[in-house]
Amino acid sequence: MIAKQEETLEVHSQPESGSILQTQEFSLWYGKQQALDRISLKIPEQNVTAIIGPSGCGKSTFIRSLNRMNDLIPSVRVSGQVLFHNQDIYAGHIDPVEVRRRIGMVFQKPNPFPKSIYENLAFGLRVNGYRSRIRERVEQSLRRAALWDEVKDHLHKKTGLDLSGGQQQRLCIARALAIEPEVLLMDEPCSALDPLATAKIEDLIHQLKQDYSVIIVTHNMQQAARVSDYTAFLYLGKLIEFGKTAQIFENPDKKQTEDYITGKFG
Amino acid sequence: MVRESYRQQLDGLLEFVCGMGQLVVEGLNKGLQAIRDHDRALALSLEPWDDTIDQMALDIEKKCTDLLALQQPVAVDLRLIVSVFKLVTDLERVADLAVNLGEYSLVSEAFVLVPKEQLLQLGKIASEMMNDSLEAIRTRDVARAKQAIARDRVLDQRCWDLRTEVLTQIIRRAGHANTSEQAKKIADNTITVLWSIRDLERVGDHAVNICARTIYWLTSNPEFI
Repeated sequence: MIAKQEETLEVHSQPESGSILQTQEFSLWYGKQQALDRISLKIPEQNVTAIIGPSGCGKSTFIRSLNRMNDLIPSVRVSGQVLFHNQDIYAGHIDPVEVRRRIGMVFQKPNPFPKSIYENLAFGLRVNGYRSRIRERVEQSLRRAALWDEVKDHLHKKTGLDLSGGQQQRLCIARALAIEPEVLLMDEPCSALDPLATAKIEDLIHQLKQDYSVIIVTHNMQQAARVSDYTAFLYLGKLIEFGKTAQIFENPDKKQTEDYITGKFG
Repeated sequence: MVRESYRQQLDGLLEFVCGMGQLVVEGLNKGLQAIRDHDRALALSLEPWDDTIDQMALDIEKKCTDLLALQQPVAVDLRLIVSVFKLVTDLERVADLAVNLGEYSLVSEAFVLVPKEQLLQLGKIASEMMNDSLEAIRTRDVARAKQAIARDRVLDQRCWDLRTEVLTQIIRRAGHANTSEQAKKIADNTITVLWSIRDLERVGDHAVNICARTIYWLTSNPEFI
C-alpha cells in the first residue's frame, strides 16, 4: 500500500513541443492498493517519452492508463484526469474503444494472430470500419514498421506465427499503426528480443516519432537513453522526475533518480 | 555482485587518480628542490620518473574506457569518468613541468637574476594548489576546489611581479656586459628564469582545471571549466 503524503506533488515539466497527452493528479487503485499517486505529466507530441523505474513502481499501470487498458480489470478505480487533445479520456461519454484506436499499444510479448501476415493487419482495419484501400493500408503500415521488404513475397503464405520474434513484434507495431493512431504506447517492446531485433525496433521507434508520439516503458535504462527524447522516472507510484533524457541521464535533479539510474537501488 | 564490483571499480579509479596526483606533487616538489639545492642527481631522476607517470595516465584512460564500455555509467558516475579523462591530462602535464624545472636547475647560475627564494615561493603556492585540488577530489570537497581556483589569481600576480623584476634586472645588467660571452650568459639566465616562472604559472592553471573538473563531477556545474 502506498502511503499518502499530504503535500501535492509538483513534478510538472513543460516540454518544448506541444503536449498530446496530459495527466493531471492522476491516481489509480487496484482494490484498496494504490498503484499510482497523483501523477501530473505532459507527454510531448511527436517525441519519444520513456517511462523508467524499478519493478512494481507503476510503469506499466501508468502506460495502460493512457488508453484505458486498465478498464478491463474489475477492481481498478481512478481519480484525476488523462487529457488527450484536452479531453478527459475517462469522461463518461468517451468510448474506450475509440480511445484505444487513437492511442495504440504494443505489448511486451509479440501477440500476432494465427492468421496470414496480411490478415493480421486487414482484420483490425475491417473491425475498425475501414472498407476501402485495405491492401494499400496494409502495405503502408508494414513499410512504416520496416517489415515490408522482409514479408512482401509471402503476405498470404505465411502466418504471423511463422515470423521470428523481432519480426512478430514489428508485425504487431504495423498492426497498431494500420488503424492510424496518434500515440503509440509500448510496454517493454524489446524485452523478449535478441540484440539485433532490439536494434531494429529501436531504429523503428526513432523513425516513428516523425509521425507519432511514442511512449515506451522499459527496464533497460540504456535503451531509454538511446531511444527517448524525454524520460519520466516513477518510484512507488509517484512521478519523481521528468525531463529531457540527456538531462535525466547526465544531471538528474533528484537524488532518488540519480540513485536509481546509477544502480544504487532498484 | 555486479553493481558492487562496479562501485569498487569507480572507487578504485578515484584512488588511482589520487595516487598518481600524489606522485606528481612529489615530483613537482623534487623539481623545486633541485632548483633550491642545485641538485643535479635529483634533477636527472625526474626524467625516468616521468615515464612512470605517463604510463599511469594511460592506465587511468584504459580504466575509464573499460568502465564506459562495460558499465554504461550515467549521471554522477558518468561525470566522474568524463572528468577523470580530462584531469589525468592535467596531472600528466604537471609532471612534464616538474621535469622542466629539474632541467632548468641544471643550467649553471640560472637563478642569479632574482633571489631564488622568490621563485621557490611561487613554487610553494603552485604545489599547494595542486595539493588542494587533489584533496578536493579525495574528500569530494567543492569548497576546497573553489578556494584553490581563487588562489590562482594570487599566483598569477606573483608570477607577473617576478617577471617584471627579472626584466628590470636584465636592463640593469645588460649595460654591464662587456663581452658577448657575458651577454649570452645573461640571456640564458633570463630565458631559464622566465621559463621557470611560466611553468609554475601553468602548474597553477592545471590545478584550476583539475578543480573545475572536480566541481563539474560533484555538482554538474560547468561554470569553471
